[in-house]
Amino acid sequence: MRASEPSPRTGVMFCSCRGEISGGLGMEELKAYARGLPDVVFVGESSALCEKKGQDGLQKAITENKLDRVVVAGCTPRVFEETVGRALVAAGLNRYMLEMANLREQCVWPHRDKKRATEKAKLMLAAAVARASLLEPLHGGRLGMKRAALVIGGGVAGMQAARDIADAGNDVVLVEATGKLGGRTYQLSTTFPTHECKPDGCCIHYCRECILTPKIEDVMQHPKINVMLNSKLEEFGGVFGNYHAKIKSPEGVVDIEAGTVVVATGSRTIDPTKLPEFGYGRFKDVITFLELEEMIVAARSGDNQLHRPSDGKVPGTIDFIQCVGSRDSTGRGKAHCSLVCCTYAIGQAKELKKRYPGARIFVHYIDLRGPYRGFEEHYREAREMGIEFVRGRVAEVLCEKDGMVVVGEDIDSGKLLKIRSDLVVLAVGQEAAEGTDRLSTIFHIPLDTDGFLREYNPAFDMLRRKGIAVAGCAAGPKGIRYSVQDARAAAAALNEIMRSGEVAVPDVKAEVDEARCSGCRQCETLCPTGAISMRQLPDFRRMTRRWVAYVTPSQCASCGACAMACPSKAILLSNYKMKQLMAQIEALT
Amino acid sequence: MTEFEPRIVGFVCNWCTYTGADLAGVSRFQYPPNFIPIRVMCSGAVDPMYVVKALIEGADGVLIGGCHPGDCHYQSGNYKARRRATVLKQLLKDIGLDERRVWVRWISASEGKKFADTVTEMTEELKRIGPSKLRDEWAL
Repeated sequence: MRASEPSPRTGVMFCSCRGEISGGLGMEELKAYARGLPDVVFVGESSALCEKKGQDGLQKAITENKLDRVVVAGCTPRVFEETVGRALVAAGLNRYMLEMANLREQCVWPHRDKKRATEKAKLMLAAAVARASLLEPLHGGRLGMKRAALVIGGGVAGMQAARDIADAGNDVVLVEATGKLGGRTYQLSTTFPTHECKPDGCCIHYCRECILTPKIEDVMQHPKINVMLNSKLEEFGGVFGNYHAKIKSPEGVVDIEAGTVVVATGSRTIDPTKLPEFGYGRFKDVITFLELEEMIVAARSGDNQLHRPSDGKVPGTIDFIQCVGSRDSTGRGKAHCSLVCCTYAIGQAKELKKRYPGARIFVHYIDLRGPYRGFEEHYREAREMGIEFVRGRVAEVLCEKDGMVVVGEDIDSGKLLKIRSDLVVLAVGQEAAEGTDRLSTIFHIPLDTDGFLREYNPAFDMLRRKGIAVAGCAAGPKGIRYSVQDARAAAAALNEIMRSGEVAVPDVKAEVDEARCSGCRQCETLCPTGAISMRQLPDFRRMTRRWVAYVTPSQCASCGACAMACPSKAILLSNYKMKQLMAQIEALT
Repeated sequence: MTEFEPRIVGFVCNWCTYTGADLAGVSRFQYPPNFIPIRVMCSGAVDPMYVVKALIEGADGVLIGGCHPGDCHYQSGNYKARRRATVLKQLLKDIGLDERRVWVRWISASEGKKFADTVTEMTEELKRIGPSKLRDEWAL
């Protein structure tokens, strides 16, 4: 501290918590001890600082004794820092000129031995007073933000998020890589178990026409949504509230400005050729569920018959193989459950059974998993229709002289089954879409163990500090309605962020001492919110320019990871600076 | 002769372990008063310098408390703490200090019992190891 600065005037206010604290500690001894601590000019006691009366007393003590900082020795700052802070603000001090010694939760309550508890309380007081002498006033604030969202991915999740955000009056740019909106949902002939309208299968429409077309039109025609098809995200930068992106579209590269982002890039199906035992790619009549969807769609617009790929024959025996590439611990597939495959396989089996009641349909499964409303009824109906459910893994699909044979076990009967099959449908699982790792780097969103973008726990600050949300299958496999719900939740959170048109700047944040920063960029890579970027400063001594770290204040989540890593100690977390913590440590030992 | 009472300095993260310590108090779980907490925002912000400083200043043990892996409020701070602590312990060993004096534990906000048990266990362990002679040895 410079000599010209007046020395701190610290006041120590004990809160007896109506005997809760004073009953378990030697209060007079502590008060005498506190008076002897450096910079302490006032020691007082209140019966309850959480009450108005106690706060008024604290306020009076601050004014009368010209205190410039206060140590409250009472309860936990986790709960009462805000409350007690109000008294400081009322007395004209900055809220952060307060330090609390947690004598209740972490001293009196867990230690019944009064003498030893008092000894510990002394240390806690000494540390709090040492730290208090080094406190600095902190100021947050608000910054303007752009009330616009960039939505990446035009599947059901992306469309829903775009619409909800646009309906709230914000501008939206929806970027879709392919030539049409609708994503995976657009490839489906029907959706199960929510949308089965005609039991005889005579409806000439695809379900997508009823469900998706109006939605797509809503999005395409929405005055607040700019849909960019065949476009890709090229570059992304800027800060929370004022992001800018370069989108490569058929019309050229377009610059976009947005305050928030929704990542709804979906998933992709696992490549079944990685599991050669099922014969995909070798046998024409082994197809994926998506190819079956195409066949059903083709049938509806053609002669209403299903023709298998090899010879166009209508299949008489159909085998569905579940968990292809999912729940696979061998490393060839993915370890996770893809969640939706049981539901759609049963749906497809029912669709086929309705068309061909004489056909034999087998579903080979490990476990049937459908924790969805309506799944149980959906499954029961399938059993009643005569679809045969076989529990057990399929070993392989063989091609013999007179056709394909599915070899697998039937756990319930304990037998090895050999089924002569006309068509084998693989329920391939879902994995993270191509380029997910790139998005993870661009948006600073970690990947989970399955390679999907990690969902944010809504209780956490990260969404509020970044305004980047993940929706739909990009965060893991989901059914359509759960993707839609996810998108609505993301949109609601972002709408709330954008409502005021301002971004809050946290009071406690990392700050860079540019004179000390050597531009090593360690902090930049460690920051969990991507708040740190590099900027150039003129270096007059060397007649050149040099790079220094810059913290975007609105984006800082105040974790201190940067401050810890900085080799020059040029970046510091306010209120948790090294000198403050060192003073605490010295006082403790 | 009075029994040796070790002094433990704890660097506990605001979101999990500090709150867990509060819960231990609220639940009246008893643990030895040898532990004194220092609240930090994240275990990932605990500079090894703090640990070394505490040891040199005469602390008998240092506990770094963070959120469980995968639960970090800042997503990855506790992983940073874990990697750092691994290196730090190796360094302590290499320069002849007892690495058993530094503990890293994941204690969530709901684990008041675990917090109390951890402090009890650590106090007992340090009593077995005996007082740190570092302050005397390093005194200038």
